[in-house]
Amino acid sequence: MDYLWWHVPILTAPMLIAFIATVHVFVSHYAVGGGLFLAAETTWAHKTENRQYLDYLKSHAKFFVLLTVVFGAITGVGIWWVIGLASPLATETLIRTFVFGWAAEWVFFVVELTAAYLFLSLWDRVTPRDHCTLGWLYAGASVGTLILITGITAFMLDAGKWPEATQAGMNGSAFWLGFFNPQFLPQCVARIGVALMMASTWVLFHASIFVKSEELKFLIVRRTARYVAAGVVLSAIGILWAGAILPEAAKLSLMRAAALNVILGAGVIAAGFLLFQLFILTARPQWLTPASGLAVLCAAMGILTSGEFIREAVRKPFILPECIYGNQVHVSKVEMLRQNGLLESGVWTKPYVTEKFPHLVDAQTGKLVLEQARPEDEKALGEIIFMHHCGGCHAQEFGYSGLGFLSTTSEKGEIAEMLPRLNSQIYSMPPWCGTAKEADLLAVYLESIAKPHPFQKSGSQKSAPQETETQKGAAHAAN
Amino acid sequence: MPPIETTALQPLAAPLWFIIFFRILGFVLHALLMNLWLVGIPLALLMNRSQDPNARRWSSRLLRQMPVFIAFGINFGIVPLLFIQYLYGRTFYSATILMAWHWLAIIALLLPAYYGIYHYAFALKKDPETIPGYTRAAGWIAALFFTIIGFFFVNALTLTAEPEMWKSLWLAHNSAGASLGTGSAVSNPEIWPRLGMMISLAFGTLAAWTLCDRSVSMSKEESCAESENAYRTWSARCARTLAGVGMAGFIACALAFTSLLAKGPSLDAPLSGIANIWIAGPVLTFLAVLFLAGRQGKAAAFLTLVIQIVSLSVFACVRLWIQSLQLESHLPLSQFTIKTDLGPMCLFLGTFVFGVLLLSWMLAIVVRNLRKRETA
Repeated sequence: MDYLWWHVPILTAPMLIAFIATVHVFVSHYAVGGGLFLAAETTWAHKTENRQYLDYLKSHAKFFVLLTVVFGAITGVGIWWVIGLASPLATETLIRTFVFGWAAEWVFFVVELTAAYLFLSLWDRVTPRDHCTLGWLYAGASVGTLILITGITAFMLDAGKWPEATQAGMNGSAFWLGFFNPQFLPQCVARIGVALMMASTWVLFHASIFVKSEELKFLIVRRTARYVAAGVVLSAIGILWAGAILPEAAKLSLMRAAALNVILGAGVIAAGFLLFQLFILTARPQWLTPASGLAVLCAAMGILTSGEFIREAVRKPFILPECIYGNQVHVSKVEMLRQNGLLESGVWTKPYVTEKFPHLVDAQTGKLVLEQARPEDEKALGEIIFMHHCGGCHAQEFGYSGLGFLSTTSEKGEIAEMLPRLNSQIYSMPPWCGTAKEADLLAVYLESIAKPHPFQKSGSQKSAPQETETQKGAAHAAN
Repeated sequence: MPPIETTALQPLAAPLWFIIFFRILGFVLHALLMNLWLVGIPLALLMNRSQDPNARRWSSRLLRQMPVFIAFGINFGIVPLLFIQYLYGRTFYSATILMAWHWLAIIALLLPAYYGIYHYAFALKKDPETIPGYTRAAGWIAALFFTIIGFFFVNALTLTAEPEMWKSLWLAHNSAGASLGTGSAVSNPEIWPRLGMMISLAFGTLAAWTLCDRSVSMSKEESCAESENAYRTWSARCARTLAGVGMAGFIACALAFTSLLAKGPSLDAPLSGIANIWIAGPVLTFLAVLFLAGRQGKAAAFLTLVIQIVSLSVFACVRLWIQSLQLESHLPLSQFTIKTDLGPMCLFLGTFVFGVLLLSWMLAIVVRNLRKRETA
């Protein structure tokens, strides 16, 4: 409630994060794995004096720089842009905790960028030794950026002892406690593995289009197979390790949410498909065509999308574990909001209600008296509460996780009854952060946008409340 | 009072001077390169159609280097943006949320603009004499997009420094109290001289680049002596004109900006003194270019670059000072408590020093390579 909310109709602001982040990781993992691939392969090609392969690597390096330095870098900035817009409080907390981690990552970026340009532009113009060193410098810097950012993204899934220690007013460094969280090492291993796999698929895709010589194709596929094998082993170890030590709530979310089951299943199928394709291609390199190259790349993107979506989804109800809920409320403020009210306590909601509903302001205390709300005010007040309590994850009538559909109900008053115990049944929801009166107001709004119950005839009040509750629970968990 | 959360912030992990130093360093590096694309791209596209071979040479060289300038310029922009969020997140986030779609549009505009310039640079490399129409169009679209991006940045930073503007903007662009993200600061006349100052500074940077690039690109072959002399004279005139235009534009914009500040909420600052300090930078650049443009050799050229860096640094320091004064009543710097966290600070400093060493080594390779080419 500290910051202004950004209302993105239909899609919701967090889905913009998901979109930008997903397209970014396709390229950012390639930037890391591709760096290792180019450094190692250039070294090998120089050593064996394989001119043909060196020429191919040069053309691949050009493609690599064009994709990673432009698209990868800008979408990376894009994530930073959009998280500040969609989750300002969480972003502020992350920046306040990890500012020097990000600053150090920036230094790695500068080294990475310089090395990438020099590696490409000085091709054949410096000694092989210097050239390879530039390649390895790029690779080292890109692995450095991966390690630094993984410390922060893994923290967002499991902050370890950080929340407890910071709430107790710790004396030591919050940075290291947060950075070396339980998920850090397994996710580093998994990400390096995924980076190698992603790089292999980009190499195959590129080669399938630009390489005409069968002999060269054969060499590229065989050389790439090593990175696939290393990638599969590392990512499997990392993912299993990370999965085994997932926080209990995250494990439970993964098990019970139907949508996540489907996404996980899709990811596993994509992984199987990818491995099958890579196995076939390794055995029959001549089958590397633009179509099979694209299929391999798409399968890898499918795996990455499913993995990233799951990683984000199992964090619910938190954005930052045990610190900030999905609706931008700090854990420590829930009780205060329940007592004083969300509209009263919100830095932006109070001036808004004061401006639009001056008759609700007590002349003496200056506080909002929602009990004075007129019947015609109730829906509008409920909508303000919706925007600030629910709008971060739910669209209104239509759209992503739209409450118009999720609130489908037959019983009048049922929603109002459920809101105060929002998280007791559906633990992936944040707790109710308002007064009882505010719950009533929100219910008025939600009932106004709720779609009619599909199995209930108009005017009838016959459906079983128990069943409706279960349906809602399943729907929430699925989202 | 504007709606700004007032609960105590977490203490800063490093002394304020440390954060401000890196914020200014990052900004100056970013501005230096950003200047080149802001004014350099449209000018180079114009010059590229000139009948004068010197103008075309200048244009080709600038546009072919542009992708690298853009890459590093964007990269250097990370640091000032990181530290502005660290210090002034409470106003920065709300300001950008008020204009969220415009702010996010920067990313959407940057991608095609960047690829457009790459496309142009490749076309120049392939055949500088026959640039297809669609490539020229891509170049102009990129120039337009970069200008729009600059405009959005000025909007966002004006809104960050002036929370008094928020309420009317928010009430005009909201849905049930949540921002629609469609606001902008165009109603504030300050944004125009602010944008003008940045564009004017860019002319000075372009003048410095012209001299530096000339100093490293002149051929020593006797057969080229005539054309090289012609380019030397042309580029000196070009640099002087650019620096002169930059200085005149900056003086006009800085005076307009400070007079607008004087009309706004009272600032506890000597505004005429600020204008004089600001103006001193571009004047110094102009004088340096005026006297050094005719000289041969790298030292004179790089001296103008150093003077332009000083000019940008002075601009950045004063701009930061004004920003802190504008925000003094909402987020006074005195409210920041400091609890130095040596571990992460050392991580950053260590990485920084190591990074500088690596960059120096890579630079040494480039210099060695250039020398080898010269002797060959």
